Amino acid sequence: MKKIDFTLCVSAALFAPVFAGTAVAQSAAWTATSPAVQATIAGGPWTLGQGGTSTGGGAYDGPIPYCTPGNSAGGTELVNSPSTVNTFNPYYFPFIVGSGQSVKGYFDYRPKNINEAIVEATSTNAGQSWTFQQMAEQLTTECPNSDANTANSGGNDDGEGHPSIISFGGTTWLYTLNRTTPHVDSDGLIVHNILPRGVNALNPLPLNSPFLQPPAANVIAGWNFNSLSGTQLTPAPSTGAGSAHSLGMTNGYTYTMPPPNVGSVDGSNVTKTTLSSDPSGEAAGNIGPNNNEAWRIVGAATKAAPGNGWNLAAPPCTQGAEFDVNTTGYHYIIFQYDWYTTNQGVRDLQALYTTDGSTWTPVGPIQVSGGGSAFNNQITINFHALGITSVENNPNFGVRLVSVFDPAYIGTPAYSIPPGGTVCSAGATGAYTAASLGTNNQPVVYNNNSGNWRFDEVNVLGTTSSTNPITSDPIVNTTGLVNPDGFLAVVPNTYPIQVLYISKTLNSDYLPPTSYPICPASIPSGNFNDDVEVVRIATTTNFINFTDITPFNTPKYSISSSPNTPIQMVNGLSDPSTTSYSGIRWVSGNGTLIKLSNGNWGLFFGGGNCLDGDSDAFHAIMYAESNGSDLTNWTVINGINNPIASIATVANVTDPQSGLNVTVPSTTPVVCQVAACTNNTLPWFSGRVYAPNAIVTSTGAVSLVFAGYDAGFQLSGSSKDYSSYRNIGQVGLSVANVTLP
Amino acid sequence: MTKRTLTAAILSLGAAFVLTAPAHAGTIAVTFPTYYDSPDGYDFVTTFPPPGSTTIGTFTFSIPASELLGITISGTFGNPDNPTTALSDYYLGFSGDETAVEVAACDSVVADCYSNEDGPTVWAYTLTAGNLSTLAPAIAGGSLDFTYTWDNNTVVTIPGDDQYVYAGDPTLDITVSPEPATVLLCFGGLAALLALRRFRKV
Repeated sequence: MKKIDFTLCVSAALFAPVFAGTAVAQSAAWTATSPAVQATIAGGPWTLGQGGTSTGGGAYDGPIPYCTPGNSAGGTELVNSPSTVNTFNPYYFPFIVGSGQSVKGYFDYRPKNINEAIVEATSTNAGQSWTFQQMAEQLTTECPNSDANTANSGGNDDGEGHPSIISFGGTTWLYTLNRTTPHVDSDGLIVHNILPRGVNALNPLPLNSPFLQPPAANVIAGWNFNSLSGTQLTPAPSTGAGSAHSLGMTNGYTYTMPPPNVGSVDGSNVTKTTLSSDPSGEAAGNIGPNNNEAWRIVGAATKAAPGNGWNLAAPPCTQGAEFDVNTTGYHYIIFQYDWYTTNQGVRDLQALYTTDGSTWTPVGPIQVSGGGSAFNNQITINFHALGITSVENNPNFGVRLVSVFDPAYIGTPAYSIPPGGTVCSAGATGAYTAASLGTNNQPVVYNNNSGNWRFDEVNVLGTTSSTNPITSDPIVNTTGLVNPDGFLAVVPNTYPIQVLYISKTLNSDYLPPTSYPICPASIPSGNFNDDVEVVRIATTTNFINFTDITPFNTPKYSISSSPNTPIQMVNGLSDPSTTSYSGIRWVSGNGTLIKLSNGNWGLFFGGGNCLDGDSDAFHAIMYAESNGSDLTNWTVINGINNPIASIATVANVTDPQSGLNVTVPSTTPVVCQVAACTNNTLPWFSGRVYAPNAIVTSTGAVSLVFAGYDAGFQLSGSSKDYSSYRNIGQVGLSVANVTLP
Repeated sequence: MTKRTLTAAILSLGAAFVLTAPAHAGTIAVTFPTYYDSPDGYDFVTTFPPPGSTTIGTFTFSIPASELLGITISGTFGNPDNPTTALSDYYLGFSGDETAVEVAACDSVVADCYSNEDGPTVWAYTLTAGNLSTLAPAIAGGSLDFTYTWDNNTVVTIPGDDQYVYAGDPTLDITVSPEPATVLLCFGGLAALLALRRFRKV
């Protein structure tokens, strides 16, 4: 090699890293340009500020109640005039469409325990103030009966939420999360094709959702068992007409006890049991509140047949209780019940219904005992909301409440349902477990010897009016999205249209094949959460049917020595197996995706971790960038410890993963660069902060609209503060290193 | 500059301004309201191919053709209510040839106009000399039709659902030259200034 050639080679080798380094695009660097402020809304439904303060007032009896005239007089829902400007709450999960100063926003209106609806509003100052245009799909028209409210099926606010929009080719599609039981996080999102025209922004959606219950339901038949005593194999209803009997308590199964240990005879009876929802008939010498009669399902334990009745050998769905009620003349059928398990009682209950008296079909999710020796009160099956109208006006209607195998049980025989089958299918395998968990907080097999179930306040409700209070609004669900909790972002300029979405699998982090380390009790509330939540990608060409195209990636941490099984999730954004207080275990919906001049996608998103004990993912607003245009690989730029915005600092705690003493966040959040923060937050988002929607206002700036809760909302009992939650806020951000579209 | 010189200059410029304004020298802007397609929209699946052209509105104006310098038309794909629009082409034309000059096109399913909800998407088009020639009779008559046609959108078919054309803020900006009298006044004033200045030096 000539000398000159050698010199060139050396030079090239020396400078190559420099050239390579300069070729790497710099990621966006965000700084705050204005203090975060609570947004306002002109017009629209009742707002928190109208109800008063944390120490007085409220939706029921505040200065301006939720209903007019309100208080005990009830009335109708308040509608503010367009000239009435209020602080923008209780709204959250904003989804903003547009750029610049004039934008449209879709919001989840959710006064606690009162109602839920979708609201559309417009802004001409990039989200600082808003003007109400239309509300649709509200859950109820009922007025609260107290500030805490127990009207509307006990204070139900689970309607349609988490709105997001796909606007494509002049068409507009609104997606909502069906929050009703058992649909949330398992059904597809509800799809609405809307035609916005001025103030009719949600046209043609009706004001009332299909979930709205008839306002005045009658008790067709009800059992409170209070007038009964002793053995009750077929207890009579306390209200109306109907029949009830136990199931499977007379049998020839073998029990775990010294011989003789074969056989059981039905010995179901009534017994006083505390803390059901039935307040009546309390006896003298009560040992606890609501200590009145409940119906106990159990074997009689005679000498000839000593069995307890409940047995491991019983096929699923054969032991429990049955209630039969003629619904002729009634519509909008609702079945409600209080369910009690003793510590050793079977942990899992499945409801079945019949319309012909012989064929029984599972309805609703498996109910899981809260831990033993406790009631699960007023479990509700709203047949109308489920679209099951065949139970109306039907002389053969009945409901069974029966024991089933525990899906959470890890052991032999393994839990499985045959393809196309149900929990009741003959081919189902698994084990019954006890209501009380084992020392490792895992289910243990039922002892095959003791324990029982009890029922109270069993009611079948309906209305004699067949007038449907709901205008035509058929529910259409997306297909192909796996356990969707909402969209994270719609990818612009794509066809087929791509979306990033939140996939949330409830109560599954400790179940095979995932087996992730579970979070310790959250700080400071002491909550637990076992949901597995990841970000996935899907495509669609018709807005209803989606194809999931998420690649497989492997969560890092495992409870066993073997590596985790790969699951479908984007890489680098979160890890459902992390227990680190600096990690991101959960991600929430309604974020923002921006195409950057450096070739990357920028993503604002909300997330959380084991500090929160809640998969709603609200600990911080963070920012990540894709690696180039690849939406499946991400690098978090502003994480839990250097976020855009954060809830209040959690100081001096021991990280479950590293064992180190940590303070989170460890650096000042971006929004606190220009705001007078305390504990790295502002009061109105010190308890929750998420759903960041970035409105591009120039090539170097965005207006970030987001949601926040006051920390008081997170407290328990009498300390809980309902005066500042679900706030919509705004902050200005500028960016360096990149330009925005 | 003497007081007399300054007075003459102000007078000449003022006269030019006063006489020019009523004659609309500069730009004439003609606009009409944001266009919303029929609530029925158009269903590509059930009725195909789509209809020919649909005239959104007519710009009317009054200018002497001899003073025309240029015409620019602008607007948005989509409007404040609907940030995107169906695949479509916009035209200026006249009775007998409504699609004489194409001025804008939303013709890609991955374009901002069609698939970016951060819209509406701004567009603008300046007519070429050839375009002006084509439209000359209509311009002389003070009337230009604004028309759209559907692009045959066979890529995206949404069974049972309609697609819509949304045209925001259609605006026609007509640039005209100042009238001869105005020009004469301006130049006259300037000439007077120069003459006064020269006279004073002598």
